[in-house]
Amino acid sequence: MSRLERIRRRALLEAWYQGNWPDLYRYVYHHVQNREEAEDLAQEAFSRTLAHHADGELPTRQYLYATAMNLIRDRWRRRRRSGVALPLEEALLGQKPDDEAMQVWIRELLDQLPQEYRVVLELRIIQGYSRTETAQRLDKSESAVRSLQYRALQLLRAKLSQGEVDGR
Amino acid sequence: MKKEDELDRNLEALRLERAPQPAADQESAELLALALAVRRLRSADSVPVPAAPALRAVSGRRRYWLAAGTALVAAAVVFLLVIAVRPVDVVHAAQERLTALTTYHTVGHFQGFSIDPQNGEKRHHEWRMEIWYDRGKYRIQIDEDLLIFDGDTEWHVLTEQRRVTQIPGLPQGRMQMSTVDDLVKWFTEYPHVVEGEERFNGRPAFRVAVQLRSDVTQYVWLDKRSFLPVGGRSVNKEGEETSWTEQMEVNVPIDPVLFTYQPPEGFTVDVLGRR
Repeated sequence: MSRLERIRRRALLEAWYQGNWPDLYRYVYHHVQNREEAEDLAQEAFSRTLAHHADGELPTRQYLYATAMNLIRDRWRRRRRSGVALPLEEALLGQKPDDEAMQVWIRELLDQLPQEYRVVLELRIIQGYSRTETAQRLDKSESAVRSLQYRALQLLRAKLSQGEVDGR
Repeated sequence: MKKEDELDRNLEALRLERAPQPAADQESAELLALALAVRRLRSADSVPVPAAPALRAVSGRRRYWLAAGTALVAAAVVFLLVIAVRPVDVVHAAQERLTALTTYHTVGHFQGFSIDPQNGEKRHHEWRMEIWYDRGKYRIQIDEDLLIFDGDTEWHVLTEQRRVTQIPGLPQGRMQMSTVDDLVKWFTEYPHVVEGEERFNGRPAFRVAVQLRSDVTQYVWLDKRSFLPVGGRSVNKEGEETSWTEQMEVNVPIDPVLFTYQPPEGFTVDVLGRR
């Protein structure tokens, strides 16, 4: 390798990094739903991918995304060790490699919920309204929203478990 | 705490993108996981993507790449600092000058040193860089290789490898060379001192020392009459020269053809940034 080879290749590497950053960030954000965490994990995924790649070769997207996914799983495992048990989280991710299918399935189950359950989850979780805002929109008390969202998620969980038993 | 309250608190953490509290039991953990799955139904496109941060150094090889990259970017910064620094009433004078900056052309030489991770030996690297800049467009030639930004697309050309990387829609100024604001910011953020007067390439000039980083001092020579930069030199903490300027021209006409590029026949073209 010539003495300038690394300098030249760095330019290509930088282009690869800049070009892949937005999609990888969105991918990680989709899983963790936290901007700070997504940036941190995406950056770490790039670093690890590049650290384990031969000089002059651009890593594949598959390798990059697999590295990111492993980092996400590692983080969940660390949380579990620190007391935050998320078994369903790993189940949702690990046993359903086709994430798009999982999305469709969750959407289908959501649509099967009674309307007020569906609406409260839509407002509170998907659209991201606060409890107070959600209560105003539903014309209910905050206490009622608290109870409603809890029962809605319980029912969704039951439907999800039933679907797994049914072999979905 | 009631389970409803615990869930509500964690939904709020999820909404505000904060870490949830440890779940008290299995059910609470599963409900939170399910809430996260529901939240993923949102379109990822609605999430603003932050600018890519600088890559982290994690290994010897990575550090090597980054050292080279830092040198490359520093080369551009150095030139801009050269333009920015003024010996008297510095900020005001620099702002006036930078407002008038539209084009420049410079030729510089750079050298760097790295430690071979395999055997610990010190390696020497040297390269020539020529930059043409015109209102956001740029052409950078590093020995035989090229980086060209035509205002819409950036091209990276590895001549020896006969490879071209095309990055469509690259935001203008990724090389941080396009905006006056950036230049003023750099100028105001780096400490500098006028060290005296001396001749540079036969011309009377002011010598200014800019502390680019804690381990790099950038010397700049400014023409004594016009205050235009005429040269630069950077030195690392070991006293080794890491860059020097061969030629520098500001606000000169630049042939627009230099900012266009057509891959030659036989070159491999990779298009990045598209799924």
